[in-house]
Amino acid sequence: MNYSLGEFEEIVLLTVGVLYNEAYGVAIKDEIESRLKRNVSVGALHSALRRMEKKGFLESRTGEPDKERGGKPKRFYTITAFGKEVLEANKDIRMELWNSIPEMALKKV
Amino acid sequence: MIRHLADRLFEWFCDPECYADISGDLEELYFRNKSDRPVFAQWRYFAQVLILMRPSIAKPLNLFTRVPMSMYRNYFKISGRNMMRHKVFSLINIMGLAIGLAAFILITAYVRFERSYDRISDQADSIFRISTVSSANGVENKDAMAYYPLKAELDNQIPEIQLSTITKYLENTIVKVGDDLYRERTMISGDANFLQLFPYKVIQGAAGQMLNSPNSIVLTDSKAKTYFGEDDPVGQVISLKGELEGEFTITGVIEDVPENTHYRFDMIVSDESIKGLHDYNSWNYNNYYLFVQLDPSADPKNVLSKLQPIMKKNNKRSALTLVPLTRLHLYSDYTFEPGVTGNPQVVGLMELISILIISIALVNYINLTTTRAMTRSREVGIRKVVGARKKELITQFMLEAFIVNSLALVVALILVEMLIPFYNQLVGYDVLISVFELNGIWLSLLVIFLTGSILSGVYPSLVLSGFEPVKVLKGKLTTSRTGIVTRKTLVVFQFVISLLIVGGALVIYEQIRFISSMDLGMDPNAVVTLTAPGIENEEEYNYLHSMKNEFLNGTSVEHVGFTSNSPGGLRSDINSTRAKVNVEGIIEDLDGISYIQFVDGGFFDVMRTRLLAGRNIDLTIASDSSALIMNRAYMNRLGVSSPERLIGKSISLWGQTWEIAGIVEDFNRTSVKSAVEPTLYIASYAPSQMVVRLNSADITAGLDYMEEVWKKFYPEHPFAYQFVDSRYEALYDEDRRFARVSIIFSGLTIFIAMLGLYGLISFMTTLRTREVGIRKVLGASLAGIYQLFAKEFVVIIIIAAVICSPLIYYLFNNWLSGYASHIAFPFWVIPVSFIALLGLSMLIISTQLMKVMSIDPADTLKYE
Repeated sequence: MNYSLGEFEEIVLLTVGVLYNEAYGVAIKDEIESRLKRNVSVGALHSALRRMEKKGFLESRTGEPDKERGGKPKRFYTITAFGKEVLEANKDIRMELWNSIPEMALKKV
Repeated sequence: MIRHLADRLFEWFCDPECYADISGDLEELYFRNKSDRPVFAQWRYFAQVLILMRPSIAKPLNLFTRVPMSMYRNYFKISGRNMMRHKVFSLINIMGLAIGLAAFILITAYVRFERSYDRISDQADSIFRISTVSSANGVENKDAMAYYPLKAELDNQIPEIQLSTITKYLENTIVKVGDDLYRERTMISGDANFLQLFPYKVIQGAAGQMLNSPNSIVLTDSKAKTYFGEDDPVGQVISLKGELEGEFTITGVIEDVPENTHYRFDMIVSDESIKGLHDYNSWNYNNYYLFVQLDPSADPKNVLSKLQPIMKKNNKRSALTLVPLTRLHLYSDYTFEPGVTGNPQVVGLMELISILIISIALVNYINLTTTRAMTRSREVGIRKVVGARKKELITQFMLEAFIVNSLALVVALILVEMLIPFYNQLVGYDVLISVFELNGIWLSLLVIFLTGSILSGVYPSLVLSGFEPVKVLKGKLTTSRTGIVTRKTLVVFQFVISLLIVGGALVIYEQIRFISSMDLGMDPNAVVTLTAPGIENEEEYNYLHSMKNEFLNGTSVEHVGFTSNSPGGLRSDINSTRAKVNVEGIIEDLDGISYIQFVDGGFFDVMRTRLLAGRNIDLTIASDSSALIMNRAYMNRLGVSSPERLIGKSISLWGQTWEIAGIVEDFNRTSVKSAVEPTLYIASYAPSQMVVRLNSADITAGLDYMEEVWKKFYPEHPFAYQFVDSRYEALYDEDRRFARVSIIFSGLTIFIAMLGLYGLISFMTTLRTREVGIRKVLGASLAGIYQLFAKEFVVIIIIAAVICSPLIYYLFNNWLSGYASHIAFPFWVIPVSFIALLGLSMLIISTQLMKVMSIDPADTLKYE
């Protein structure tokens, strides 16, 4: 099983989780921009979304055409079970790493 | 707009599966931004699209599954079948285009050659020749040559000059190699820098030092082969006689000087060896060519202004000019050029002809394919019914056009390869070695190829793909009005070009015939010229004259004369002076150029010139050693209208005085392209050239007799003569070649145009076979039907003639004015070319019509 998850991918995946049923392109972009204070290009976002869908972390459904979007539909993403597993595995690794840092190392800083 | 374009780009690029939602996102963001800054929002949109261009979003790249190979196979098959079914058509189509392309390649090769002169150095663009310009009495005199000491001054004072070399053309040298004698006219002098500025490849010898020491000489490869065959030339000693004398050691061999060089030579003697010449290192003579190579960053204008004070300092009134090396061949209008210069107008005209030929061939091709495409409407109908979309039809027709054009291109290249030797002979230079050396032409060929393919493919594909299948299949083919108008316009255009080229060729032919048969003011036929052995004392003079008298004893020798410059030489083959002239009682201190030729009285007898007044020089009269003869141009320069007024007057120049013995009618010493210079023919005992008039009935006997006598008197000098009339003809070589080339290419143009006309007419008549049948059944006369068909073309040719006449006049009158003496514009060429074209067209129409009219109407109509 492929658990590899890039930094940006992880953020996108988590944000999809945050937005729950309302996670489509612009909403994800806005959410990341407001929370992380960083600019996200449509290109980077969609290429991450498509990649993760291909890897099976995400699944998507198409919504109704929207007038505000030039008559085009939204694509809503949700996290799959596998996606959740990957996220958890990632979180565990980080926690494990956190816990392994000797106290001395952090004190010095 | 920008957003729309960006969206199109994105749609083309994006995987269709996710296009809708991503572009939805883009739209949403756009509408959000739009309210603040609309233009910015659009650019933002565009930037987002650019960032979106990444592989993960692109549509999958399936090169092979997306191309319907079987369809392409079908296109190939169909176009092959079509070509085979209409063999004559295909042949006309491909050959017409191929001939046009071949002509284009050949002419462009010539033009390229003419423009490729003097590029042996990588720095050719920063090499200039220093020449002098002076003006007197409002007449500007441009002289290609400069003063020897100028070089040293320039080297010292002008830091922008990186390299400079001074060189002199040494005509008439006798070279003795072992026991063999050669007369050489192509020797130059060169200093140590010469081979650095003009980096000819050194085959043998030490590159940097070959021209450093006195009495060294460098030969070109072919000259070395003539002299020594396969023996090693370096280190051999040859002896020179003439302007330069002595024993010379060969220090090196260089490659042959290429044909596209304005300063051509076969051998270089070192500058150190010419120190004995009277004009060496003297500010009194400008007899040297001075070339400088400037720092590439230097501004020639700056350098030019720095040059002038140097002349002033040395009491010279003339100004110096910098003439770019690469412009010398085509654009020089200087006198004393080392060779015949090219004619930029000729090159321009040739270029024009090449463009005209290729456009006529393209028009032909487009016309034929588009008209013929109509016959394929049924095929198109079926294709559409079966499901072909516009895009597929366009692909098909474009592909066909590409196939035919490629075939034509291949045929053209083969034609060119076969024609190269003949063509090189025709133009007189090796302008093209092989089709694989078309550098500089490939690009234009590619452009023509693409234009041809696209133009001939686009029109039929757009027209045909626009047909409504139902109508077409029902047999209702309505030819569009715009289509017919376009075709007729193209035919008019073709006739305009044909008329232009035919008329132009006639004008050129007439002009060349005119100048080569023009009255020179004397008779150059049956006259030979030789270089006389040099004379240094009275004894030698008497010896030479006893040979002259023995010549005259022969029955076939009529007159013998001496001159410093043989008639029929280059423009530079004359002496000139800027010294002030005084004529007793007429004019004092006349400024400007006087041209000088040294002659004896025999010269005028030999050349059969016409005396206007006075008498010939007679050197047997002692006082005539200070007599001279003046030509009419000189008399005009003095502002005298009656020649008698000048006879017996004394004229002084350089502090010497002569008596004017006679006035001679102007005669051309060189090509009639340049006007006759105001010339003084000064009596002299020892001019270097000899002219002999032979009995025209028996020239060979005269020559045999002369050779016999010559060998008896001067066994050490080669008996090498030239016919004066062929010397004149050589001056017109370039023009004559041009006339020949333009006539051949105009013939080709007409051929291509007529080929097209033939195709067009035969197509139209077959289309109207049934119409002719019905007309015949209804009782139309053959003449009536003929008139019906011919009328259309007569109208077209008349329109073409109306458009073309002012064009011919404008273009070729302009060309004619480039000659000092030229014919008045021959207006007859317009009706003549018109009638010729009309006749040819009518001939073609008749033969085609006859074919159709001879068919029994019953055969053509029985299916109705």
